[in-house]
Amino acid sequence: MSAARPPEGAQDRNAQHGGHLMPAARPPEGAQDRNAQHGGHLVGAPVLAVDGLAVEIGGAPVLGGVSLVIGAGEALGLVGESGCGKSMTALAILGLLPRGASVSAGSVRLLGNELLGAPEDALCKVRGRSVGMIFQEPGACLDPVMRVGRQIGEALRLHRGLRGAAEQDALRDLLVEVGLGDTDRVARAYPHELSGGMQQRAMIAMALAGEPVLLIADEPTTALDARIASQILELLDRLRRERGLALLLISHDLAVIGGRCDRVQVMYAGLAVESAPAARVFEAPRHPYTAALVAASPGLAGVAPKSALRDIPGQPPAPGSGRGGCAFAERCTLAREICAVRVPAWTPLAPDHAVRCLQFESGW
Amino acid sequence: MLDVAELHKVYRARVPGGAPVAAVDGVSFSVGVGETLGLVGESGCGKSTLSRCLMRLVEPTAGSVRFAGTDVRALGAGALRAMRRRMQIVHQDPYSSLDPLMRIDRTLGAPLRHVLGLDARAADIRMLALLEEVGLSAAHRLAYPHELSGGQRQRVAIARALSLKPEFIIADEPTSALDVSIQAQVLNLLLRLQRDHGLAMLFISHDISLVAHMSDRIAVMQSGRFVETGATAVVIASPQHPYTRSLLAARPHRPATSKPTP
Repeated sequence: MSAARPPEGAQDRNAQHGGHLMPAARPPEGAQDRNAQHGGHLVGAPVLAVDGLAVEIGGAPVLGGVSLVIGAGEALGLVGESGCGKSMTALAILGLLPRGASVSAGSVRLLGNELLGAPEDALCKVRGRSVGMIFQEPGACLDPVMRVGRQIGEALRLHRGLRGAAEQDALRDLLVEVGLGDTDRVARAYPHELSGGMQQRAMIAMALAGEPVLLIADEPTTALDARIASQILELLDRLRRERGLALLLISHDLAVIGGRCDRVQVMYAGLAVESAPAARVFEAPRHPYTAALVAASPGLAGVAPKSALRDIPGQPPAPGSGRGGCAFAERCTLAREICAVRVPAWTPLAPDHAVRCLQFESGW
Repeated sequence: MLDVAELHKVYRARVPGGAPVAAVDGVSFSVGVGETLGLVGESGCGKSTLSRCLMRLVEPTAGSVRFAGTDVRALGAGALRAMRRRMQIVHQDPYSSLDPLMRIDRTLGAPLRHVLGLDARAADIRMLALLEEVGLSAAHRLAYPHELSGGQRQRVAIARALSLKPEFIIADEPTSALDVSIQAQVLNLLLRLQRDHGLAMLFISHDISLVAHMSDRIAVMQSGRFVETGATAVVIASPQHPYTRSLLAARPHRPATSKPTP
């Protein structure tokens, strides 16, 4: 496994490797049993602070130590190709890893409270309440035989204890907030009676029902047409500003989410390879993979029509296929011999910009 | 190469008494040798139905389709089969367009032997040339589709389309199932093959950035009709129809310029 890890305050990462589902909870610093809800959080703590999160499946590392921090009202884009570990990161944060996958190291703090190793009933209160989630296929996430209003109402009852008229009022407010102004019709509709864009809006309403502090959106627009996708991203952007939500926006397509994030973290083969303010990722990407992603995208590359795009040869390594050296080396145009043997460390280039590439280390 | 005039496809209503659906509603266009027409529109606008009508995989309701001077709609079964060799489709999803139980050598060999009538040896030589042309190696012949990546599978689908030496290729969302880095590989491959073989192409996508990159001319389709057509550069620079403008406005944008690092 990679020895390198992102730096953000990562001294005391407990690195328990083992086959058990989760490492034992690290005692929260100077804190008693504080459950992770709004109200009781540490003043000044970021909404989400993930530090050195590592996940393995059957002993093979699929996530090699991911760190990220999101503050209130901030949007972080997590970008990478299929199998790079971005969805695994989201699932690990929520304690929803698939069978066989386990966290081998790291820490996940929500408002300062450790989630890794927290008891299942505490996590149940976090999911859907403190943390809202939306996924790629709204059609698959909604119950096809339950009216949309009832599904959202269920979340309101469960997470906020609302009943009767209060529930109906809250439901109507939520639907209006996500742009489903025809509230009575939408509430009575079954999911299949709504368009894909409307289904995703209903999912967002449901994710907001618990008044979360963090919203995790995993490929929220991949199944949608470009115009609808743009509207959904606009909605998420507005909710983030108006509600002060921390937003973790996950996508395989840098072009789609780049313009909607404050910062972007690019992942490759289970590791973060670059983290920077969003604009800088487009203007001055420093990692060869990030630069190649920008150059390979027809909407971003800025090349003449019908001219060749700068493609990235080969394909990403299979998840968990451990190897020495830099995982991107065999596809990298800048690679030297050393790249095949030495694992690059997470190297800060500026206070808000870090990269994992040997060209920024001594001895290159 | 291809001339389409006033093409219509009307589907019967799915419920008794319902209104019929005009999936393609009076569309006219032409595609010249070596030229790419980009067809952009959202789900359900009729772009895939249109592409199927061209090969009569779906029977058009009215209008004419002329391919290399021949009236496609007048062809009998045998002549239609012959015409379809010259016109090939690359589909969106290489997971479902390749037979999962067939090794790649059978998938690629069948058209070479049974349609072109090559003997085993000649078919094998041609197959190796095809694989090389799409950037695969001889070893890939022995693989099953599930053993290949999405990008490799799409290369196989392209090789199969090329195997009959078509003059016209319909690429229907050929990269929407692929990752960005692999998408660029497949787009570059299509551009190179078009140049090398002088192929005419209909490139279909919901993504106007993609269509703009691949096409000489663009047709914007909404509810079965073309709402705007024109040279790519003109349509992108000065879109006339509000729908085209809304598609362009929804293109991903770069974030505002970063503040200087302190």
